[in-house]
Amino acid sequence: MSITLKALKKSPWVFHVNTGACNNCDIEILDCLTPRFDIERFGIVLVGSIRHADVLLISGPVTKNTLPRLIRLYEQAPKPIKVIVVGACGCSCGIFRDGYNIVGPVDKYLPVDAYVPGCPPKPEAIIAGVVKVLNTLG
Amino acid sequence: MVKKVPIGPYHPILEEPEFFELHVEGERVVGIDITIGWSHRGIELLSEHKTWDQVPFLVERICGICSCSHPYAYVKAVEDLLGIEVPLRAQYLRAITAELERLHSHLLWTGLAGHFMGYNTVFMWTWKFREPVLDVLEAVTGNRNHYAMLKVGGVRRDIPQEEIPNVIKMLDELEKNNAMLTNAILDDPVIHARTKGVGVLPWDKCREYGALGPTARAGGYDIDARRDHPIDAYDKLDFNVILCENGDVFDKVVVRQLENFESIKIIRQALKAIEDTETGDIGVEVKEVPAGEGIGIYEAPRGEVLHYVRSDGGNMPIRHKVRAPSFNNILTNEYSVLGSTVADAGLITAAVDPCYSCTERMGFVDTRTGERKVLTEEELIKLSVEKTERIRKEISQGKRLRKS
Amino acid sequence: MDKEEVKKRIAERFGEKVRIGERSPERVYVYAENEIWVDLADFIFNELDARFDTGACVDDRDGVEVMFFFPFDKEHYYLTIKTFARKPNPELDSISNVIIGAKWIEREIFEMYEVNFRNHPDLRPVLRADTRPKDFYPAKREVKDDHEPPRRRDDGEERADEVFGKPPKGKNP
Repeated sequence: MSITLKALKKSPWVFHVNTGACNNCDIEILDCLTPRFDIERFGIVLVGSIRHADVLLISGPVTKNTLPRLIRLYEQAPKPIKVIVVGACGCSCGIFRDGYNIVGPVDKYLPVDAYVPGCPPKPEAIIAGVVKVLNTLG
Repeated sequence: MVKKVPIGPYHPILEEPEFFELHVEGERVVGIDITIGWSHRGIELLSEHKTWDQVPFLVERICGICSCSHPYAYVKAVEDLLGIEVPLRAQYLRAITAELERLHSHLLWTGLAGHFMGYNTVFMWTWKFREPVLDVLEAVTGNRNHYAMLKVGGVRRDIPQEEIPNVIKMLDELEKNNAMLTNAILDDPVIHARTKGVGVLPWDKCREYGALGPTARAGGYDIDARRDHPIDAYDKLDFNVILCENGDVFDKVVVRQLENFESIKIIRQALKAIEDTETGDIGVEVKEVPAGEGIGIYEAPRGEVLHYVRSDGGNMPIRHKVRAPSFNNILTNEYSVLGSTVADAGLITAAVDPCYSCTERMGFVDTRTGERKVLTEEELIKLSVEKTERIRKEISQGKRLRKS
Repeated sequence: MDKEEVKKRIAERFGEKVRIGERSPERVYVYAENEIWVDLADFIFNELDARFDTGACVDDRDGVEVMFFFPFDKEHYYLTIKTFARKPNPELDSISNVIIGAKWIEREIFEMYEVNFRNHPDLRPVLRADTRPKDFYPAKREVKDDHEPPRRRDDGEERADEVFGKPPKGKNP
């Protein structure tokens, strides 16, 4: 295992991007940071800039407006970056799949490491998703 | 010299993308250009391809926080078209779900306002107090968010009798916590200095822009759809409409905090009503929807939601128009942000409780040289935090008068 | 203001140009001709002191039915004003010079249904300002039929193959 991956595993920094979700997944992600779940005690921190991030959390179906921004964010991210999709919309577009402004689920455009289905997934599920991704690093 | 400051469209801590372009002269904001539509999913068009019973599931996914208000307005629109009355027990159950949602939404926003000001204690506290509300919602409806509680003609689930004491216990604790939080906010001189007189929106401007909900009520504009256009059980429930007069950010916080007490009051009354009746119908069956049109209104946490449906007698609406309160409220930023400083702009745009309060990335563009300086959202919050720290220091040194 | 008085005053002021109906005690409708559209909105908002709520429209074969909602909060009823912009090229005077709050909703109606609002201060699409193809009005009756058909049922399987069968598109070290 390279030194970067080892460091990543100890304290993954997470950047969160909404590509057109209904807010619920975003709130549940934020909920993970607040006293009941408090993932910061495991070293998981939500950061304000993609350039500091190790993990990219994406929620929502990709709309035509956000697609170019999503791709640009991914390009700006320092590699290696792990991509986790939160919520049914990001996994499969969910209820919005026939919308005229929806261009598809996230995995059509980016390589995805983990899917956390649910509408919205509970904070426990989101934490489990992040942990599972970290376990794949060995 | 006017500079342009883009804010958005991505913002790391929360919610939907949103884009503001501030026009600044030095530190002062002289204009704003707002771009919306980043998460435009075409729900109104999708809804024309769903049956009457499927639409509530779609509309509750318009916004995760208002996931009872939108279905409520929709079912009221269809019931307005049909001209039916739902059973009494269902009316109270609807009111309980909707008011629980209001509690969690207002607490969520107060926490975020604290975060924007650099008061992470407020943020952590309110979100801690919010968790029991979500637990109760899960026990009552089956999910923490997206309750799927409402259907045309009634509700889907009943509250089990043995669950009611738990809800009341939660309300008692929340009332205590909310009182503590409200007092803490009202007493804090730094919050006073940071929010009073910031982002003022007087009531005549509220009327012109069509502002709604707490944004309008903070400016003294006396509207509340629950009282003005009473639906279901709301004319049997006793509650007050909270009004402030100044319309600044401080008043918006106060209105929301005090509304929490009213919501607790409403839930108590509704729980008592369903406890007394014990059992009863929770829905009427709707077989078909005749041709016609209906308007449904409900007061969501952010303001009045309006749904308009048109039917041609088939099994799907031929037109479904949704007006979310943020649509009008965000437009008011055009007025309220003028004359403020860049450090306050994030707070003001967030103060209308938009379904997106975007301050992710700011860039200063010099219009003459085209030179660009990009600020991350962290730096923007840092600007805001620095201002709070400065004020705190001044207060401790006695430079500012302490307001009692 | 009282409902009967509002109806009387509108009828007095506009006479033949409006038709007033009532569906239920809380829903009043005023059908207006195109030319008095702005005057009517102005009259209701400024003189009758209603609150401006929002607008909506329904696409029809012959034109677009545009409506605006004006609630009277103290008396608990909704007044809806309606007019009909004829096709082709539906056009209407903009009320956003009278009521600022109508600015965005008119922009949205323009974007979705191609109703041109004359004298609008800033008639740009509001929702999809940068990615929208030119002359694309998604909610128009004529366009709706040409929509991309809903994706096929087996679409999900194909996508699953894409993910699991073939190597993913990006490359992680």
